[in-house]
Amino acid sequence: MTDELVRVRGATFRYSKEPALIDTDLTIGAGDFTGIVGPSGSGKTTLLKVLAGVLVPQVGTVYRADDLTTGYVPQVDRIDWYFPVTALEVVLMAADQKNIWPWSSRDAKKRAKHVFDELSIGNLADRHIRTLSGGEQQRVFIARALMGHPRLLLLDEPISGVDVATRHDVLHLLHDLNHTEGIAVVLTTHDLNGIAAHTHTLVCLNRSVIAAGDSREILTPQVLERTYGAPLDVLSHGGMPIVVDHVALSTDESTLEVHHEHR
Amino acid sequence: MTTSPYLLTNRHSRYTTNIDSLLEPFRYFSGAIAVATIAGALCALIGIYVVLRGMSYIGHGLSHAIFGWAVVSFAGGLNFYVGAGIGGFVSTLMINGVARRKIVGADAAIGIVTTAVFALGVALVSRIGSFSRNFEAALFGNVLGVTSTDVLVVACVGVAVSATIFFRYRPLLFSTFDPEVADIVGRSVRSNDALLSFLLAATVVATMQVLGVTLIAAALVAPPATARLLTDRFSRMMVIAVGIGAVSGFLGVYGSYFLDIASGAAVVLTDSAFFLAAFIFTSDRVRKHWRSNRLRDREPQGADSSRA
Repeated sequence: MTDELVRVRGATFRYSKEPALIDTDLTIGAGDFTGIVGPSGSGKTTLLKVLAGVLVPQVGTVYRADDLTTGYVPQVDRIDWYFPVTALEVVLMAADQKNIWPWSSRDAKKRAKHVFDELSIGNLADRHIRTLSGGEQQRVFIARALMGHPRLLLLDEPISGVDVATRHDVLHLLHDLNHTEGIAVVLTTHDLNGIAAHTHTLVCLNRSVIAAGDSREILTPQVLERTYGAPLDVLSHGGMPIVVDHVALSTDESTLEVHHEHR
Repeated sequence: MTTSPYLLTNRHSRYTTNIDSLLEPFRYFSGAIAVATIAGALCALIGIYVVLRGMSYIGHGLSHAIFGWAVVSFAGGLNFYVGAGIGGFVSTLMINGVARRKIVGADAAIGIVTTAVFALGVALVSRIGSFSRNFEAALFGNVLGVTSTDVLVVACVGVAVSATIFFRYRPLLFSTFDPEVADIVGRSVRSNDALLSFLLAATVVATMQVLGVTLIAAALVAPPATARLLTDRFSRMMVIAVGIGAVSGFLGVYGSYFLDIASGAAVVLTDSAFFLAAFIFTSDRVRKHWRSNRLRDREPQGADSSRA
C-alpha cells in the first residue's frame, strides 16, 4: 500500500448557503496520478483547495501527511497576461518565503535555473509571459509549483482551452514528473477523453464523489449521467474508453465498438 | 513704461537676470517644490499596485471619502491626519466588505461608500459654515499653503510607505499578480490587501493638501500607467513610475509659478503630458516608422545603385 499523502473523509464545504462539496471521500497516495472530472460548479476547484489545505471543510476530516509539500498550478485563464513580469520572475515569486529583501537569494536563482532546465524552458526565462505559447505558459506555472520541491502537485484545469499539441505536451510533462520524480499529481479537467489514458485514478465528481477508480472500469453511461446530468455513451478504442454524446453515437457507430457491458 | 528684465542690453546682466528669474520659484517656495516632488513620487509608488490590481477607481473614490472623514474629524475636534487616516482605512475595509457581496460588485461598492462619506463632509461644511482649516485647499490642492507640519507628514509618510513596500516587495507582488496561489503558499492575500489599503489611505491623506481631492487620482494612476507603456518589467516600472511622479511634482509646481495656475492642476497636467508622450511613442505607427528609418540607415551605401 502506498503512503497516504492526503485523506479526505466525509468532507462538506459551503462558501455560502449552497454546499460546494457534500460528504466527499478521497485519498491521494504517494506517486498517484489522479484526474478529477465533473461539470462546471461540481466542486473540482474546491476539492483541490481542500487537498491543498487552504480550505477546511465545515464537516468531515482531512488528514495531511507530516511535512507534506504541495505545489499548486492555477487556472491560467485567471492570469493577467499583461502583468509586467518575465517567466523567471513568476517562478521566483514562490521561492524564498522568509526572504525580506526584494531580490531573490542565490539558492532560489539556482533552484529556478534547475527547474527551468528540467522543464526545457531555460531559454524562456527573460521573456515576458504574454509572449509565450499556451504550452510554455503552462510549463512556467508548473515550474513555479516545483520550486518548493513538492511531493503533491495540484493543477486546476491545466488542459482546458489549449490545443491538442499543448494538451499532449502538458500531460506528458506531468507523466514524466510523476514517473521520474515520484511526485503525486492531481488535476481537474473537463476533458474526459484527454485524461482517461494518462491517469491511474479517475474521480467523477458532482459535489460528491460519484465514482473513483480505473477509468476503464468507472466510465460507464450510468456514472457519466449521474456526474454530468446528460446522457453520454462510452465507446472503446484500443482498450481505452472514449466518451461521446449520446446523439453522436447514432451517426457513426460502425468504426468503434460500443461499450455495452455496463449499460 | 517699465523695462522688462529680459530686454536689458548688457549680455551678462541679461544672462544673470534670466537665471535669477528661473531660480525665483526656489527662492519663494522651495518647500512647496520639495513636498510636491515627494508627493508625486509617493502617489506613483502606491499607484503601481492600484493600477495593476485594476483598482484605479478606488483612488478617485477614496480621496473623496477621505475628504468627508477629514471634515467629520475636524468637526469632532480630532486631529485632521488621524481622523482622515483612520476614516480612509475604514472606508477601504467597508468597500471590501460591500464588494464581497458579489451581487453588488466592487465598482458600485466604491461608488456608494465613498460618495456617501464625501456627501457627509459636504453636508457638514454647509451646515457648520466656517472652519479654521481651509477645506477648499483640500478639494483643489494648494501647495503654496502647506505648513511645516504638512511637509513633515508627507516626508514621514513617504519614508514609511517606501520602507514598507521595500520590505514587503515580494509578498505584495505575488498577491497582486496571483492572489489565488499567493494565499495557497502562505502569502496571506487578506493581510496584504489590508496593508495596501492602509498605505493608500495614508498616502491620500498626506498628499491631499498638495494635490487636492479632485486631482489626486490622476497622480496615483497616470505615472504607473505611463511606466507600464514603457516597460514589461515590474521593477523597472516601479523606478520609471516613481521618476515620472517626482518629475511631474517638481515641474508642475515649478511651472505653476510662471503660468500662474493651480499647483495641483499643473502637476496632473504634467503627469498627463508624460502619459500622452509615452502613448504616442509606443504606438504601433511610430514604432514602425522608427524601425523602417533604422533599417534604412543600416542599409549599405550604394545598395540602390548595385540593385539597379
